[in-house]
Amino acid sequence: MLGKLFQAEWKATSRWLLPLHLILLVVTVMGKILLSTGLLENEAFVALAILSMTFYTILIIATSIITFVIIVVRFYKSLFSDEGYLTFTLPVTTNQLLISKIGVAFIWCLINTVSVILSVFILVFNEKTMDSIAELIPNLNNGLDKVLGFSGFGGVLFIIFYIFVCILSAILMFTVSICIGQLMSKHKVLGAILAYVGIYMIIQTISTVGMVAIGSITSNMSQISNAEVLKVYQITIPVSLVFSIILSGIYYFISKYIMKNKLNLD
Amino acid sequence: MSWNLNSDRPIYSQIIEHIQMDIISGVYEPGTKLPSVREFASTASVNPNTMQKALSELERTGLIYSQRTSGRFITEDITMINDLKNSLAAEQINEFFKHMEQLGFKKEETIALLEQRIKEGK
Amino acid sequence: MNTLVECKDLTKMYGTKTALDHINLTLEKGRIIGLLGPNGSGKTTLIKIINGLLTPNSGTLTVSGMTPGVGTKKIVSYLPERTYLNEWMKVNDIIEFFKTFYEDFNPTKAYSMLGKLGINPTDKLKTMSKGTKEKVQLILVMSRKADLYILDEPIAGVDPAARDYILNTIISNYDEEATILLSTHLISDIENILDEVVFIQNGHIRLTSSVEDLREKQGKSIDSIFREVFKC
Repeated sequence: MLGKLFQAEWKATSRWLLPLHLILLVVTVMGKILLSTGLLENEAFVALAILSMTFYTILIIATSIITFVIIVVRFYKSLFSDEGYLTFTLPVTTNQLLISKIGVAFIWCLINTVSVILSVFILVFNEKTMDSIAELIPNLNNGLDKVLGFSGFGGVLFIIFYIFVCILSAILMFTVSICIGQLMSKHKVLGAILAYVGIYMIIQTISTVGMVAIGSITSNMSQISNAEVLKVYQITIPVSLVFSIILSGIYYFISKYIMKNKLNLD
Repeated sequence: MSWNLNSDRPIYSQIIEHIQMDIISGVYEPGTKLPSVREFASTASVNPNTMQKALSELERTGLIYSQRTSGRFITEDITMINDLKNSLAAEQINEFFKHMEQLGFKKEETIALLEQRIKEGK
Repeated sequence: MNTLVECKDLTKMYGTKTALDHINLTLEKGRIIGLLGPNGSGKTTLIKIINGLLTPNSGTLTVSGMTPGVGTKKIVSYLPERTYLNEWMKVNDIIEFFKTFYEDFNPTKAYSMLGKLGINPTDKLKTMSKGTKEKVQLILVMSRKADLYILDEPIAGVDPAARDYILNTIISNYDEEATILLSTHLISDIENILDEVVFIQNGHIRLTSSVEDLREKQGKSIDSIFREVFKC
């Protein structure tokens, strides 16, 4: 059943998101061709250069925003609008519903992130790029080693894992906000937005307090040196990672509880 | 195509009457195969259980018989059909006389009216 | 065991308002049952609980001995009052969807019924009129071989010809092993197809009876009896 839900979810979201990312791809290719003609470096075409840069920047931002919006709208609509009558009477468990939706949302966020990075990379790439990267890598490695305590392949994996957790946590944060909004009898969307803002502020507060606490515990604030700052990061990063994972778990269980026990479709 | 059934009275007796009429008037010839319960219920726009009850009752009186695999059939017993026709006619006549009495006509007056009506032509 | 749905002491409250008040009710197999009552009587609440869309505050409700959940959703086919299908989907897509998630769904039957109505399987739902959408939803629901069909206002807001079609679809899909629960206001239109009625008001069951018994005893149509019982 989970696989079937994944498929259905994928079909419903890729309807919009696939064309969107294809557009990004096409624009990237067109941009690359434009760049390679050298036209934009000609002083006479400065206006065109500025225009295309602006257009491209807006496009990149738009694809990310649109991806986010479509995922959120899809989640809300399929569960808490009239379509909810279909979704919640399917012979599937609440867990299966949640996991399939969060899973597909996660995949699209990844695709979006990777697409944007790739797009910029493709446009920026030239003969000198590979050399610049070759120079950069030892520096990065060094930095990673100092901060994380390990580098190279392990370091990269850790960063990827960290990013994954951040994306998942972000997705779950709007999931739980929408579910909390559902608890209100009227103005459910407003409730969701308020819940999101509320959660955000609470998290920010905890983070700031945590950072200060860690900072004051691990170092003497009057002696702020590179080594001290490093120590702070060495603790903050794993702690925030664990914090995000725990938060994600909490968001998930609250969402599931609301969907299973407090459901009240109009 | 609905049968004009009156919701004020039990439907199953109205179904029985309707089928009886169809048999007597020749709409259903003796020996005709009847539709399945579901089809019949659909035609009459009634509940299948109600149709089943009506058909069972008709089976009990012998107007309909069923063959296990082939379905239900109208009886071929012409005598029975004629008897039914006659008894229904008798009912109609009794009803008629009752109504005429309510209007204030005695039996002899009613008969005289009938004869006059027939003389004047259909 | 002829009982399909059993409610014992079922209670549901919304805040301080009691929607269902210690309801006891049994629905048997092989019946077409009318759930009748005025707005706010608790009909919709009861239907939602049967479908697992709402959890009761106390009491029990079982379908085939199971509490509403994945198991009951496999054997209950629900037609809600609204358009609950995704409007951008084509008829073909929706049939695929039902086929994927419901083992008891019969695509051949669905296509055949759609064909008889002249509905094009490649049409998108949003291009259809309200009446056609309702017929499509009904066909999907009736193309499942479920133990319990719940139809919430299946003929409201639909023209008389479509009503006849819908009622005849319900009759021709009748199965001795299955139960059809019809919730509606339009009593005179449907009373001839009912076996039994359940009258509900203010969260209480006012009456349960076979339809023919009521007609015999009271010499009135169910519609008339309803108006008497629920006189404002």
